[in-house]
Amino acid sequence: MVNPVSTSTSTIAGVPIDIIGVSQGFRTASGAALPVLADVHLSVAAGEFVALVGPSGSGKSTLLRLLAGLDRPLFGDIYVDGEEVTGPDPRRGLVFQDPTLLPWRTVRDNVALGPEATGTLEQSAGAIDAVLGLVGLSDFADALPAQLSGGMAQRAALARVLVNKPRVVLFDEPLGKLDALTRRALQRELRDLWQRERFTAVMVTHDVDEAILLADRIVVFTPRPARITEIVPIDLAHPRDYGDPRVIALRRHILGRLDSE
Amino acid sequence: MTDVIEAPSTRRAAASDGSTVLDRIEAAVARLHAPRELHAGPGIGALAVWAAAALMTIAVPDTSRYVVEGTRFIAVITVALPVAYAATWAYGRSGLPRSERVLGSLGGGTPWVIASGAWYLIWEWTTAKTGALVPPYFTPPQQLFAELWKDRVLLSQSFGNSLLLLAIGFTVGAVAGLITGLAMGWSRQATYWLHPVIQYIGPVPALAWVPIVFVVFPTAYAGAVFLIALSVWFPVAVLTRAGIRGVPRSYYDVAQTLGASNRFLIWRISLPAALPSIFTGLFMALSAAFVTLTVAENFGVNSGLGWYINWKKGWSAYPAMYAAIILMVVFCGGLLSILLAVRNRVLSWQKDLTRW
Repeated sequence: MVNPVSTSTSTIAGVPIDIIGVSQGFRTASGAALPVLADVHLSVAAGEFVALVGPSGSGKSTLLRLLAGLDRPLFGDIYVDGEEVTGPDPRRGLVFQDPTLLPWRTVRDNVALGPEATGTLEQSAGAIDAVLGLVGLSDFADALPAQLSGGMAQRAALARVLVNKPRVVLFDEPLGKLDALTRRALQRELRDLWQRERFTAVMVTHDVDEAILLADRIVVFTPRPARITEIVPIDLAHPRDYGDPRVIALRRHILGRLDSE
Repeated sequence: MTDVIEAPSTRRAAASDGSTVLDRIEAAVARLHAPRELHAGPGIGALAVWAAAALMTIAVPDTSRYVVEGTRFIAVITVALPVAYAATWAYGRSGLPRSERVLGSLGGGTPWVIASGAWYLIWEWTTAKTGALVPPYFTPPQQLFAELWKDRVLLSQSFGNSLLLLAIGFTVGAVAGLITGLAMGWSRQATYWLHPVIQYIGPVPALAWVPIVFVVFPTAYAGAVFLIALSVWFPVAVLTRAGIRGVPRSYYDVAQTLGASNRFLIWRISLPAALPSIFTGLFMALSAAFVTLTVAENFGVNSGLGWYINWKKGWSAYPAMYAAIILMVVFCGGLLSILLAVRNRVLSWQKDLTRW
């Protein structure tokens, strides 16, 4: 659970993202070229929450890996805060569908991975405690990942990213493997967290309801090779309700759009 | 919403004796996890077997068909054992601190106490007391202790020499294997050059290298170190590489997005993730090293336990040979146990540890 923090700041920590004409392709096992992203243009404002939806295998995760700097695009450029992305950076955090916690490290040591890798472990002790409290894992700091439930593990993965004070957080179906109840709880926590920290968020999801609940804009992709087919703004105040007629209308519209592709 | 429908209270489900469901669950869980206790039957059985062993050792005279020394020593043991057992049992039932744990481990070990007592009875009866088994291929149990004591200086030197040679060879081989495996796991170039070498040199048994090695190396000792290191290097290198190749790519992705350098990836991600596989390699390597150690001791080094055993066999000194074999069993089993303990400590994060 996300604890209310009294020193909440509404200043935007996020930075803008510009994706300019990005194309990406792979080689299949049989040797054929497989185009995955075709000329994608997208700009995300500082502190904005953008959800990417589209048919599975359409290249949304590929785009996220490019944003993280884990892969380089074949064509096009990606700028984060006006700087070209050339490799991974701790200020751009990535949360996967699997928590991918290192099983031999305790929750605290997993969260400490970033500070340890950048040689700032000593001055980060307080920050580590703070994010563990933020995601409600203070009592599980010394637990091993195998002892955590799915939701707790995903919270730990989130804390591991947040401790680096990211300007951008990239979510690759972060709640995709959780049960429905845990997912609903974590959606609310994620929303509160984003509203407080105000990082720029880009989330790949297959859950249209989740996208509507969280995002400022929803980017709808075509099947592979992925192009942007529509960008749907969600101009609803938080907290949003699944039963709201406007939410229902948006859901119908987006699902219709996905089905027609 | 949850206030409207009241959840069935556990208190209302109280049984007639007043205990609640929670009480009964607690009691059942406690029963399931209660330590093994020592029942009277097996306890008395263990005492009886060893009392009979003590009685026979003291009361029945030794046969003249065997050289029998050390009967007094083994008599002390056969008396001390049941006395110690009875004392432990009494302590376990006393209710003093930790007595429950003491009783539990006594109960767990009792089948072994009974079996070893029966084994001793038969062995002592057929050798020292009646001579039913033919000398010189059999030896009374007390004679083994006598031989160990008589040749204690040479035996402890042999033990020490074996340990030193094994330690040097194993360390050199394990470090080389670890470096080779890490290099092959990380670099295409290293795999290109090293993999064919490993594939063809690695499986060749150490014995086959003996003629070359003891000619090429300046001293037999250096040759022996090389042979042991070679037999350790192969499994450690192969399994280190396999372990590193098996590390999920997502671990690297995560670490890289958190700002990790290549150095960090190797030492903090690859190596710990590959440790279970590396330990499997070390176990195979240790077994291979025992074989090579015994071979090397007999071809050129001429010291150590393996050499002692063969030397005594050459003189048909069977009791001394058996005594040295027992020492060898302690040597190999002890070292394997140490490696196991280290692994269980290092890999305590693994949920389902394979225990051997």
